[in-house]
Amino acid sequence: MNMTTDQDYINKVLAGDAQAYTFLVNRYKDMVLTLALRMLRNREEAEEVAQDVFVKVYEKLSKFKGEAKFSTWLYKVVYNTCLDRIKKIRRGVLVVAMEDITERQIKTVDNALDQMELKERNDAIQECMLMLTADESALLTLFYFEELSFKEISKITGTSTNNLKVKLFRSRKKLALIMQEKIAPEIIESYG
Amino acid sequence: MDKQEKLLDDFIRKSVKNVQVEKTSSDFTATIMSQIVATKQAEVKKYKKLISRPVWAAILIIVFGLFIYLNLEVDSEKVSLLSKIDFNFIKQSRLIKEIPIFSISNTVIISIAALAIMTMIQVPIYINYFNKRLRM
Repeated sequence: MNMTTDQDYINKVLAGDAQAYTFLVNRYKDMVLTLALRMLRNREEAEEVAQDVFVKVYEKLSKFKGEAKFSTWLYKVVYNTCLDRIKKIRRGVLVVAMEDITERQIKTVDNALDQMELKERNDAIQECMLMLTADESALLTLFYFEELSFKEISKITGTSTNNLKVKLFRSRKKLALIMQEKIAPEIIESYG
Repeated sequence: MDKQEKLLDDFIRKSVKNVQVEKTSSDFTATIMSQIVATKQAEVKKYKKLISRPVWAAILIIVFGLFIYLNLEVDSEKVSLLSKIDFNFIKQSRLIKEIPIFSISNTVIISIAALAIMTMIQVPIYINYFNKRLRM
C-alpha cells in the first residue's frame, strides 16, 4: 500500500530519522522531474526545481496532515514552483489554431506513429508535448503518465473538476493538432 | 464523453503508453540529502513565536484594564495617582527648551497611520498566502 508506506516514512522523518526521506525521494524523483521538465522545457532548470522542491517539502513535512496523498501534496508544490518560475521567465508559447480535428486526421497521425521506431516515436511525442503550455503539459502528464484522478489533479492545480475536464479536452485536442502538424508530414515525406 | 472526446482520449492514451518518464541524474538523491543535512545542522532551534498567544492576551488585558482604570479615575472626583505627579518639570527642562518647536501636519499623521494599518493588514494576508501554498 503506497499511502501507508509513505506515511510510515514521513513518521520516521518527523521522529528525527532524516535518512528515511531517501525512500520518498527515490520513489517520486522521476515523476517530479518529468512534471517539472514538461512545464519548464529545460532539463537543468527542471532538475534544479525538482531538488528545491524535495528540500522545501522536507522542511515543511510537519505541515503535512495526511488528508491527501503525499504524492498529491508533492506534485502541488512542483506545480506551483514551476508556475512561479515561468512567471519570472515568461517564455513564448507556440500558438496553435484550435481547429476541429476529424477522425480521419487522428487515424492518419496514429498510422504515422505506428510506422516509427519506438525511440523515434517517443522522442517525437515528447517534442510535441513540449510545445504545449506549461499548464496543458502538466495536466496531460498527471492524467496520462501518473494516472491521477480528476479529484487529485484538482487539488494539485487548484482548478475545479468541471473546469479541469474542459481544459483536459482542449489539451488533448491541441496535442493531437500539434502531432498532426509535426509528425504526419515528416512520415509522408520520408515514405513519400 | 462524446465520440470525438473518446477518440482523442484513446489516441493520446495509446500514443503516450510507451513514453518513459524522465530519469534524474545519478547523484540526484545524494545532492538533496546533503542539502537536507546541511539545513539540519544550520537549524539552531525550532521556530517559536516571539510572543505567544497567552502573553498577547495578558498584554491586551493590561492595556485595556489600564485604559478603563484611567478613564474612570478622571471621571470620578477621587484624586488619582497621575494627578499627584507634577508634570511641569518636563516643560521646565532645559533640554526640552532647546528643542525647536515644530508641528506635524494632519496629512503626515494620517499618512503614517494609514501606512501602519496597511502593513498590519498585509502581514497576516502574506502569512496566510505562503502557508496556503504548502497546505494540503
